[in-house]
Formats: sequence, C-alpha cells, structure tokens
Amino acid sequence: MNRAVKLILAAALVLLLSGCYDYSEPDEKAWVLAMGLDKGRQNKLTVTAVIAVPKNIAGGGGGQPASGGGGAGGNFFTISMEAPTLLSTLELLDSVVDRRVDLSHTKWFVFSRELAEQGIAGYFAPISRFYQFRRSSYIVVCQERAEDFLAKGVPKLEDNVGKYFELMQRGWRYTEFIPFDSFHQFYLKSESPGVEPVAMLASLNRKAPVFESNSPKPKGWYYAGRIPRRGGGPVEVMGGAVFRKGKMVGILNGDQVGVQKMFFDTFRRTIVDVPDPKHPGRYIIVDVKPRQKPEVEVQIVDGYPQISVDLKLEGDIISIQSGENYTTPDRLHIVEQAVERILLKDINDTVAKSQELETDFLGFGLHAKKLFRTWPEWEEYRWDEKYPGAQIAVNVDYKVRRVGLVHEMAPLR
Amino acid sequence: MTQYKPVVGVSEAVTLLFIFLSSKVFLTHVVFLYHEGLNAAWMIPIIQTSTGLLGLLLLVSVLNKFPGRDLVEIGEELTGPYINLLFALYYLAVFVFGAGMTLRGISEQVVAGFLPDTPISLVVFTFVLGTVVVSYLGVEAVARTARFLLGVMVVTAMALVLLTIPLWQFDAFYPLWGGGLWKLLAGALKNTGDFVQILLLGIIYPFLPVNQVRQIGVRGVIVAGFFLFLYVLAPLLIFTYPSATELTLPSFEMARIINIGRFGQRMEVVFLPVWVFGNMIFLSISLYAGAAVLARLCRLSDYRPFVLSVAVFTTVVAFVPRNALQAAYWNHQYLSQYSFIILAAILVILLLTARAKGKGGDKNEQGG
Repeated sequence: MNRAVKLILAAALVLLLSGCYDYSEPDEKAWVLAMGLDKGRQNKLTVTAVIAVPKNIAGGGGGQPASGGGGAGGNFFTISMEAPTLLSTLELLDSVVDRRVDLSHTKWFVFSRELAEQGIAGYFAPISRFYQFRRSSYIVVCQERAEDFLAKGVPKLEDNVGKYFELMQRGWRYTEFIPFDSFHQFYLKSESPGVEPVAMLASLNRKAPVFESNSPKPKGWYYAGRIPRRGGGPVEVMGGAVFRKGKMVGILNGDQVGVQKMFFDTFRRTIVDVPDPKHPGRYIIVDVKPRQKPEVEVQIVDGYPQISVDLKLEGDIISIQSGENYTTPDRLHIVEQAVERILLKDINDTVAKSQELETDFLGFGLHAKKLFRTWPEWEEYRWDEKYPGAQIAVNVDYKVRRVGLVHEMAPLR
Repeated sequence: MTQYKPVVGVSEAVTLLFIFLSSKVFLTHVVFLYHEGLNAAWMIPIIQTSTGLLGLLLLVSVLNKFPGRDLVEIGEELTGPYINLLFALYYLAVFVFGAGMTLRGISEQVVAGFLPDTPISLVVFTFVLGTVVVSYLGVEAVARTARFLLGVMVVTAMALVLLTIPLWQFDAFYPLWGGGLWKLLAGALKNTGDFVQILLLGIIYPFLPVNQVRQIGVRGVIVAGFFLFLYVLAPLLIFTYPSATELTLPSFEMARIINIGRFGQRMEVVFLPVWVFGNMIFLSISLYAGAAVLARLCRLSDYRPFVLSVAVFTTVVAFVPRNALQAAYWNHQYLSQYSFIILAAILVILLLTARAKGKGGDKNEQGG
C-alpha cells in the first residue's frame, strides 16, 4: 500500500515535466526567418520581419504543392514596423501577429546600405545578448531598403524561405564571391584589433544594363546590384561590405571577396578565365583550389610592418578555347604562369584596396600579433594606424594537377 | 555519523572531488579568469592546479596525523572548541555560500537559456528538492550517484569541446603572455579559491579508504584542473579575446554555436544534462558537507537533521544577490579569491599546533 502510494505520487510528479510556465507549441509561434533594418520614416528604425507560414511550406494538403512567394497564400509574409530599436519591435509584432513572435530561427539580419554606412554597431552588438538570438546567423548588407529587399526576395526553387537564406549563404563553398563570415566571425572581427569584418553584400536584381559595352570583363568584377543578368530570382548575393569600427566603408567585388577568403583559409574553389598568352581574345579556363594554408610572415621594420605572403594553389585545366596544346608536361608551366599573373593582379588590387580603405580586412594583424609578447604591447602598437603604411609582397604558386578529360587536343580544321 | 559507517571507494571519491572542484566551469565563473589573464587566461588553471595540489598535500598531512577523524574533530582536539568554532564556521561558509551562489547561478542559467517564462523560485525549488533527497541519503548515495553519472558527464563535456573544434582560432593564443607573466601569476594566485573545495576531503576523510587519501586528492585535483583548463581554453579559442570576456555563460554559448550542417544546430539541449547533473552533484555534496559540519559542531552523530536546515540556509543565500550578475560576482569575490589562503592558514595552524602539542601520529601513504 505504502509502496503503491509512493509510486502514484512519483508518477504524478511527471506531470510537472510538461512545464506549465514555458510550455510552447510550435503552431503557436511565428518564426521570424529574417530581420531587416532601415533608417526609419516615422521612428528611428524601420524593422522588417520575414515570418514563415508553415502550413504553406509543408504543402497545401490534399496533394496540393506548397505555394511559393510572399504574397497572399505564400510561404512567408513580411511586416515592416517603425520602432526605436530592433528588439522592441518583437513586442510590437505581437500586436499584429496572432502567434508569439520568436527569433530562434532567424537566419539573416539585413541592414540597408544607407544604415550600414551610418554605422550598425549599435544594432548588431546588442542582439548577441538576447537569448533567442544565435551567433550562427548572418549579417547581410543590401543595396536598397531592407524592407523592399525582403518583401520582394521571393525564392524560385525553395518553398522554405529559411532554407533559401541558408543555401544562399552556403554558396561560399562553391563560389569565391560569397563571404564566409557568420555573425560570430563578424562580431569577433569587429571587436578584435588587427582585423576588420566583411559582410555579405546582396541586392535585388537591376533592371537597367550594368555596362554600356560588351568589352571583355572578368566575372569577378561584379557585385550584388551590378550583375548583368536577366531572369532568375530577384535576389543576388555577391561581393562584400567592408566595415571599420561598425561602419561600412567600402564594397568588395566577387574577386576581392575570394582574395579575402584565401587569406583566411576559407577559400574553397573558383573558376578563373585566364587570357591565353599565345592567343589574344581567347581564354584558358582553370579551376583554382588552395594547396596549403597561406603562409604569412610579418616583420616590423622602422616601426612599420613588412608583410610577405606565400599562397600555394592548385587546380585543373577545364577548357582551352584556342585549342593550343598546353597539356604536355613541358608546356604546363605556360598555363601555370598565366594563372599566377592574373591571380596576383587580383590579390595586389585587393591588398591595395584594403590599404586605401585603411581597413585590414585581410587579417594580417592576426599574424602580426605573434610578434608581441603581451596584449598591452600589441594594443600600444596601434596596428590600424600602421597598416596603411605596410609593405606587402605576395607570391603566388599555382600548379596544374589535372587537364580534364581531353589530352593533347587536335586543332579544329 | 549515520547508523552505519558509509564507505566511499577510490573512484567514487575521485569523482566526488573533481566534480565538486570543476562544476563551476559551466557557470559564469571562467569569465573572471579572462579578465585576469586576457588571452593567456588558459595558463591560470595550470598554475591554480599546482597551488591546489600544494594545498591538498597540506590537508592530507594534517588528516593523516589523525586517522579516522575529520577536520572538524581534528580542529577541536588541537585548538579547542572556541577557535575550532571559527574554523568550522569557515568550512560551513565555504559549503553554504558556494552552494547558494551555484544554486542561483545554475537556476539563472536554466531561466536565461531554457525556461525564460518560469519563475526563478520554481527552478530553485526543483534543484533544492532533488539535491536534498540525494544528500539526505548520505555521502555514499551522493558518491554513487556521481560515479553513476560520471560517464555521461565526461563524454558530454568532452563532446561539447570537440564539436567546437572547427570554430577554434589558433591566433587567439597570441600575444602569448596575455597581460604579462606577472599579471598571470598574480591572477592565478588571486583565484586560488577555485580549489578551496578540496576541503571536502577533510569532511569525508573518515569514510575514505585508508592510506589512499593522497592518491584520491591528487587525482581529483588533476582531473578538475584539466577540465578547468579545457573550459577556459575552449571559449578563448572560439570567441577569442576580448569578445570572450563578454560572455555570461561560456559553455552555454559554446553549445549554441555548434553548427554541423543544416541539421546539426541548436544542440544546447543535448548538453543540458551535463550542466544540470554537474551542478546538482555539487549542490548535493555541499548540502551533505554543510550538514556534516553542523552535526560535528553540535556533537551529534547523525547529520540528517541538518540537511533540510542547510538546504533552507542555502536557498536563502541564493536569493540574497539581487540579480544573476551579483551572484556571479560575489561567488568570484568571496569564494574564488583569497578563500584558499584562509584554508591554507587554518591547515598550517593545525599542523603547527599538532607539532607543538606533540599530538597525532605520522602516517606515510603509499603511492599518490
């Protein structure tokens, strides 16, 4: 008897496990998948929330496919509200949305370029304190107002806009044009002396032509908002927004983002169109991958840094437009040198840009701090002031590893 | 003290000691070491472990002079009831204050990270209820519970660190000496209180295997030092200095940032058991030890009447700080800093008194 009563009492305790105060049903939550921030029109900020409509993501029922888009019956909707701060908007949203708004699944924090150039430190740093926020989300700078960008950015392939945001960012693995840094890295770089962050640059597609002539241009010159294209989804992500002390100070094009990733060892691969040294107007197309981590050596000479970088890369020949037979062991070096020349130009341009912006987004400071014994000595050196005067020498070593499925191509007749 | 004499085996005792010493790594505590050592704060636990070992050897040398008796009894014999009362109150303060601040810390962590709408009082009550039951059952129950959960806790704690390896940034080690060698040494010496919980050995000494106390203590301190080192180092490598100094709960943030593809995210719930079990074992040990000290002071043979009162006392202490931050700061200021020096002073006084009065035998342990 006694034992039975104890068992019943113990079993009754299990009822408490459901947690009466914090019980939370997923179908009573409004999951915010992205937040946008613009300069406000009626208050300090215009905050836009992209809220998922789970029933449409899951499918229409009765064999109906999920409905796409952000309009009526779409898989997400956006709300823009005027508010003094980002997080106070959450309570405002609860006045408009029937379900409780939750940031736990927010993938993107989108800042308009206008706001980013004024400075966003006051907005992104404080959200790291909020328990719903996760450092694995991403900071995006869009060329237009974030409310327009998020409202019109309807994915073509995905029903789930959250997955779309994630997959767009994960493109950093397949293209050099998308920065690697999540909020976590962005935040650390913003706080650490000796390095500055780069955020993803995004835009809605541009209707007007970007360039006036059809003269050849490297594809890596493009960046979001300036990609010549027709068709596809409305959103494009390419290039980066460079920040210094929480303010956006410049834009990197696709190639420059690739160089930034090479220096941080987050570069995976890129395809490079190399002008054929023997056939002007024709290209050799190669892919480029890292062979080793970059070797960076920094010395302080007369108070200023002298930096030497060794980049070891490798890759395959994908195509030779001219049909010239470079694919014999004694002629491969011609291709290798041509690749090294074009990569070196991109790298030197990017290094020059970082010095021109007085912003070490290539992270040389992280190598330089090894020269100092203590943190106060490192801070006293004031790397950010010395970096623009640094002498930087880069050496690129590229090796062809494979030549594709064709060997010693016969010329067309 | 209870009706029969409990027995704590070597592995159970090592487990008890190392969990009692190292469960603090799951709370705010480690952040204070970053303020002392900057990016080289990972060196502080290494120095602290050395000082912890010295303190342990001092404690064992006192205990081994009086086999079968705990520190309170030894103190009474050597210094008399009045001076020993001061010593015992200090022991009680270490256990109750440490338990109170830990109770508040872990409850605040649960509220901040998992149950934001639940009143803190309910969370505290749940922790107290569980720990009172375990500690009421005695040191043997606490030790066996700790030993039973050890595997899960160690594997989970190691997994938490290993899963963050892709996020480690090794440039965080530089400049190598952080704030400088002297600042590091000063920081380590200032925080020797992290090992003040070796005091536990002095309370459970009568139940430990004869001749193996030193071995138990050395193993417990070294394993605890390893986990302290690991949980100071990992957040430094992930969040780097100075950002790491901003974290309220470094181990919680570590769990939140794990990202293994699209589906390997939001894993903090997986690590919830290690935080909860670790701190519940800490609380159970503290309640038991506090009750045992009170029982000795009152010259009672049974500690059990005091478990509930110590639990109430601990709960009151837990609610004295006005907020979570104050609890973390007080724990750091009053327990982690300098408390070890008081313990060392008490042990030296006991040792010198024993020598002066010619009391206690000299027992040489094998091994350890």
